[in-house]
Amino acid sequence: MTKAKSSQGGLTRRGFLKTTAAVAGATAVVGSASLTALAAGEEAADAAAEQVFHSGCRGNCGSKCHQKVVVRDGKVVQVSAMDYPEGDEGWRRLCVKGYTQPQRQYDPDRVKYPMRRVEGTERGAGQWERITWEEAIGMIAQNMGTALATYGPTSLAVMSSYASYGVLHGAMGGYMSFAYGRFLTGLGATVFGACADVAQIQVQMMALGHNGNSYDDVVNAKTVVAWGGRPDEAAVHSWHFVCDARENGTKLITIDPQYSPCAAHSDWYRPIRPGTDGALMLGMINYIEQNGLVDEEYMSGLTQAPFLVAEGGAFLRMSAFGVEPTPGPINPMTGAPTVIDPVLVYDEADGTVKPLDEAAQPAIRGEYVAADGKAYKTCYQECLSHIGEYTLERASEITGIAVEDIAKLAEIYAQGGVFNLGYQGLGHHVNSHHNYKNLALLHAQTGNYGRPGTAIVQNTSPFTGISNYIPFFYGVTGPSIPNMSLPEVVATGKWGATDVNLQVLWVCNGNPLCCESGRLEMIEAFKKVPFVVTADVSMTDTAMYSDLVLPVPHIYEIEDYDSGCPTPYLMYFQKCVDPLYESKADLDIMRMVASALGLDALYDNGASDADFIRKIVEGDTTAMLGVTYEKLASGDMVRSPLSPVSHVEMVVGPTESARMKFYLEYPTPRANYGQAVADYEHYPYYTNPAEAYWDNPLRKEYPLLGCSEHHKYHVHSQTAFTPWLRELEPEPVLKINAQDAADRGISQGDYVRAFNERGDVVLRALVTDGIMQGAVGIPHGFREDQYVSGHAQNLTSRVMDDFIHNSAFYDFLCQVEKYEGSVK
Amino acid sequence: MARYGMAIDTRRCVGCNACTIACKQMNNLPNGIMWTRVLTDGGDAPDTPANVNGALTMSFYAMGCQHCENPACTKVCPVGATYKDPETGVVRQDYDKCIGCRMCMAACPYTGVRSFNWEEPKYQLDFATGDADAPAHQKHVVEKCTFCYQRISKGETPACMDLCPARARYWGDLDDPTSEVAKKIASREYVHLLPEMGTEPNCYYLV
Repeated sequence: MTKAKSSQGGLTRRGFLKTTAAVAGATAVVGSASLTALAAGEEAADAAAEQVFHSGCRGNCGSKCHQKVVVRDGKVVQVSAMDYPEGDEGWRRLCVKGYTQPQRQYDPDRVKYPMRRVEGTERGAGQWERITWEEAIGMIAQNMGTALATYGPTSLAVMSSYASYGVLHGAMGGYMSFAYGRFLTGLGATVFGACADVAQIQVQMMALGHNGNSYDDVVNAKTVVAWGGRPDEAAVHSWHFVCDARENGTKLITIDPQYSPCAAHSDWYRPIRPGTDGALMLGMINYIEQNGLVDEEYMSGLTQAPFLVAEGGAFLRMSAFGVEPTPGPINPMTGAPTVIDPVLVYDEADGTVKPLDEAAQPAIRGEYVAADGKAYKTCYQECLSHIGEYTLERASEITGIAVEDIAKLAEIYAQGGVFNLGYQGLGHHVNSHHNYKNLALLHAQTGNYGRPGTAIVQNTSPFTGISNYIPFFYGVTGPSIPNMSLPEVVATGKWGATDVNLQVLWVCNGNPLCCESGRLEMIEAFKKVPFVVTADVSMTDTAMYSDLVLPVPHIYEIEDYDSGCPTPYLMYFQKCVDPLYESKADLDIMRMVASALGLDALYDNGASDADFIRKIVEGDTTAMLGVTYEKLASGDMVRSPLSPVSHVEMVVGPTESARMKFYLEYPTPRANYGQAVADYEHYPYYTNPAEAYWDNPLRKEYPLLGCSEHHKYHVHSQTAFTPWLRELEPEPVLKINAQDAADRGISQGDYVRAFNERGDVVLRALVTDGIMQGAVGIPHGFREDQYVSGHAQNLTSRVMDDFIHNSAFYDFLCQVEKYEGSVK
Repeated sequence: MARYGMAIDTRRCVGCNACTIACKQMNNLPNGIMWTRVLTDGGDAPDTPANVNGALTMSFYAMGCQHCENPACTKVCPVGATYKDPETGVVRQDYDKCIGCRMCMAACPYTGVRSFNWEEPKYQLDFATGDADAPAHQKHVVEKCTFCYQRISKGETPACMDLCPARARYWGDLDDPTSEVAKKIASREYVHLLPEMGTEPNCYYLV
């Protein structure tokens, strides 16, 4: 047989010499110097052929892994985790998806040159014509120019999601980059922003102001509860901390409709019906209250519990009794002074209503008469008065978890030291935003916040990077609209009272027609927009429904800086190789568009990428931190000067602002267009999901409750075609419980059709006891042509709670049947 | 002289397959070839649990060549292409000697750790990834995990050891009591895969 001459990877001469030199060095001096010198010389020659760069993953799984990227002969050939300095090794990270990045960069699915939809073909028909950049920019300028002149700036919109971050080319929050922030605010154009995860972001992080202790703090916990989160998959970089904790005696509990690897490793696992977590929380809260398990000192001294609530839901303050508020310290975020209007409590020490800071023993329960002769409940009492119906029995009926198990879980919470690893398992139903108030009250009652080994939800980005949003803004901000409201906007030409006569829709940093819910309605809305442009690395589902597709580079082909800081080191991406094919970076594309419109001033008339990064890290408010562009560009691991420590804990205190919150004094809608705000937005609350609930009569036709997962092989749709990952997971599967499958005559590996009134999808079944009976798990991240037919997101609904405008990916019912058609 | 071995902590492993892909990348493995992979001890499909009277169980075994102390493969190779390296204890496969008879594959009790290139190896990318000195793959030869011989001979660790997200892998010289792997084996309960075959694997699974 013929054989290629191969290097056997044996002890090479160099390796042998190094080994010999080390031995020689330890035992005898003679000869070692010359051997070492020879070895070093050979190494230097090898090093010239390979270059090492410091980049990272910019896909938003949230982990921002720093990567060592090796380039050989102009190609990225190797990716591994950057080494972390001593003491920070626990933050070193990279996962299976990170290791596949060279394949994603050289993915055959990449968009290679500008393409326009062939004239006369339908959107989505897949007929493309290659054009030049000059032609593409000409088309854009013409469409934008006409729209601006005819309908004004709100007729131009940029739609983004959670695909990529970076101050030059990303689109966090729609505005947060030079590429898009300058353009949008320079014109006052419309922003369409992601709806996914907004329940948690808006209620837990922003309104309640909660974040967790850093992940490594789980080692201080008595009990880690994985409730709505998957530390083993969605946050695999932090799983080793959970392992360390368990070796130290910490117990692990998993509450999940699906039996995950984390569940398999758990000391206790309980499946829960999807979308009912809020009812479980309220059942536990009532049990804790009724069984003397409340941490009274914590609730009185460190939470909102004692604040008296005035009519309308705001707290009773001194201003209600004619005492003028006084100016407080300057708010560093706004530069304006804060207002001090002391909140009133009932002091059990002397039986009077008085300002919080004068009270020795603030009461947490009861109703008290103030100086005006009216009675006011404490905040805790107010909350309890609305949730009384959620007894253990009622919570059990809703969640499917046994009464004694709910009581047991509540008892565990009451023992303290509970670190919850919750995430979007709690966040993908129409009722989800209430979960974060409920969970906060549960943790307040039991003192599980602001202490070592506790968290309401783990902090995925506990460290502080150098950020500065001001330079992204140029002029005025236009309307900011949730992505999934696109169909209403297209139908009415309005957003609230504002005219939004959409003429040009520019999609970047996201694949909403694959990754947002309610896909079929979104596609119809896309078809009604006169001109749709998608700028992406690969040919996404959204690109397929566009008129013009623009190629942008993979992160290894550009430089950028991301102010997010999940580890203590600043995330700067070095450019490793030149942009492939004809791709151009987002910022370069927007510079060309602006130039064609005569708006070069938006990008400071020729300022360089480095100039822009300097504006962030060496700006008026950041220069004193001492991190220069040159320091970042060197590729060194640069520690954030704002994060001198490697471990972060939340702090609570006795003053009003430092107390832990579970009640929203002024609930404010995510997208405010004048809608009414219900009373229950103030307090912990439960209501059924919009569609996916056990007692829904629709279950006669569509009996199965939807859910999904943040799968280990996917970061949204970015790795849909990555060949190494497809060797591990060749095609999308529908997870169905073994009994549900048997009832439908479905066997392992059969193709099935899942369907409801909105749409359907045909894919292979994964028959498993690893999902509870009555629920099915749809895949997230596969694209249209990877299904036999349809799309998993055709099943999902665009219905959103109008207070929160949160994507409700799991809030759907469906039926599943064996698919009898042919499969290619 | 060393006797390299590995311990994998099944109480940490979640089957994420980072090791599988790190190995593929660093050794430029052809399409469809995995030198290490994660097996699910559970249901009838990967990542699914067994159900024994309502009790669900699932665990993961990251598995490649076990680099046995008493390998079955070396005894049957008619040309000495698979052999135990006296310097390192690594069970090696000499592609240039291999005649493609696949006796080693039949003799090895650990099904799937070896693969045979029936055709000219194919790749997704038109350039080689990984280590520049990783051995080139050939048609009509058997291949398997080398413990990343090209790396360990430079004093580096195998690719799968570079970063296990769960920190579930331990590596080193089993004869050196101060090595990580030796310390783990000394302090933890472990199992060997198919111990009844008498192969005396140098891969240990901590339980």
